[in-house]
Amino acid sequence: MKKAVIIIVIIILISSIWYGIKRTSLFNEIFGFLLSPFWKSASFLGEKSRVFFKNYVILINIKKENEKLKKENLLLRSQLAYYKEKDRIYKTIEEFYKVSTSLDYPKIIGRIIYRPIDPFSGVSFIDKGRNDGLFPQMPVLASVNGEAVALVGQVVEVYKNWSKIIFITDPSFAADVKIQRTGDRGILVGKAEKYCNLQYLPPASELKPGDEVLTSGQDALFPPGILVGKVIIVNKDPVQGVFKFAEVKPFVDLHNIDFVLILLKLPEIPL
Amino acid sequence: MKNKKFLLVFISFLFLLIFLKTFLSNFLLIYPGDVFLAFCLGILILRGSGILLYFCLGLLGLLEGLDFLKMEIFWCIYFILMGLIWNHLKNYIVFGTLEAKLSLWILSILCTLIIRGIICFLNLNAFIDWEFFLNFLIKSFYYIISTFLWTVILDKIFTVFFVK
Repeated sequence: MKKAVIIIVIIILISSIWYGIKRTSLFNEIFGFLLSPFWKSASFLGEKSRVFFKNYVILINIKKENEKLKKENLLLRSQLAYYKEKDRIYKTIEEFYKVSTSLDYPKIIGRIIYRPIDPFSGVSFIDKGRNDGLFPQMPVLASVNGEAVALVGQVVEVYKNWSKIIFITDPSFAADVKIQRTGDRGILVGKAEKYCNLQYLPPASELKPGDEVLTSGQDALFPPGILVGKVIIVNKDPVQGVFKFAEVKPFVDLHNIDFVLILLKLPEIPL
Repeated sequence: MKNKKFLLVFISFLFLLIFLKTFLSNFLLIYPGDVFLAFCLGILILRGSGILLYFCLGLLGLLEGLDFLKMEIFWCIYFILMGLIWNHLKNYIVFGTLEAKLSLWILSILCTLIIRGIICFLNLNAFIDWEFFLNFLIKSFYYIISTFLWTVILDKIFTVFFVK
């Protein structure tokens, strides 16, 4: 008994010292080191089995073609949204400043190694960590053919060889976004469901279902002009009656992605 | 059950369950249930008390906490407390009966669900309307059913292979 208590005290001491120095959990570092091969192999097997059933058992060609077209469509829409946004920014500030907004941040591809698919949160693990240059709060995007297409979440905890990310549907996620057509800004928040809430929209906003939602860049976390989702419902905010609110459907099926792109961009002070 | 055998059973099942949970969530793309809570309830039937049991419960709590943000220690303490409460309840309830086991399982699952719900509501920035509440109820029901099924399956395996 006495021996066990001493061991527990030593463990607590070591983990506290570790937290003081590295600002991460010692247990999570150990779990990451020990369980990464398990997560990777189980994820790989699960992913391959899913793809097999999806592509070869249920409607081989139609399903495949549909997936390909969906991806191409998403890529083109993302590029279009990006260029439209860039064009709008240039037209607005060209006369005043010689400023350029750029999405050319270094990117890194991460594989999702563990997705709890928890009904009350939106946490997943990726196989890239501190060693790969990741830091908390870096934006996570969906990728099609190696190109970033839509915002899917944010890095929250970084360990040596793995990291925790939250999806945009996680209750603790929030981002400053705007409606592409009208330019109205609002706060996008997750609610542990399929859709997100877009809150604090101006009462005079003329947004309608089908409008595309982009990051505004004003929160200093996400670069401007990244596609987020599509408005599906517009209503009056039941709590903050002055504002409007909308429900936003993410462009990407968040549970169905196996690879993500992490923008190696640290938070900056907004303009 | 002797320490060595218990530890062997615990470690082998732990790795199996981690593998299964990851595989199932990747393959089916649905929440497979709270596997670690089910495992915890399963081993509480196998072993009543002892430092080794609480160590194992703490480990399970840390693994459960991985699904949350910076809540590993909280879940570790919660699982150990659950073990202590179960141990204390043994003075009043006979664990051999199916009714006692079932009611304690349901109670533990409900307690954990309430804590998960509280964590979710504390993190939530969106407002709560009837639709959100209804979805929450459906998700809770699914959580209870899936976790309970895992508990029954693990208990059956433990009873057949290790208790007798």
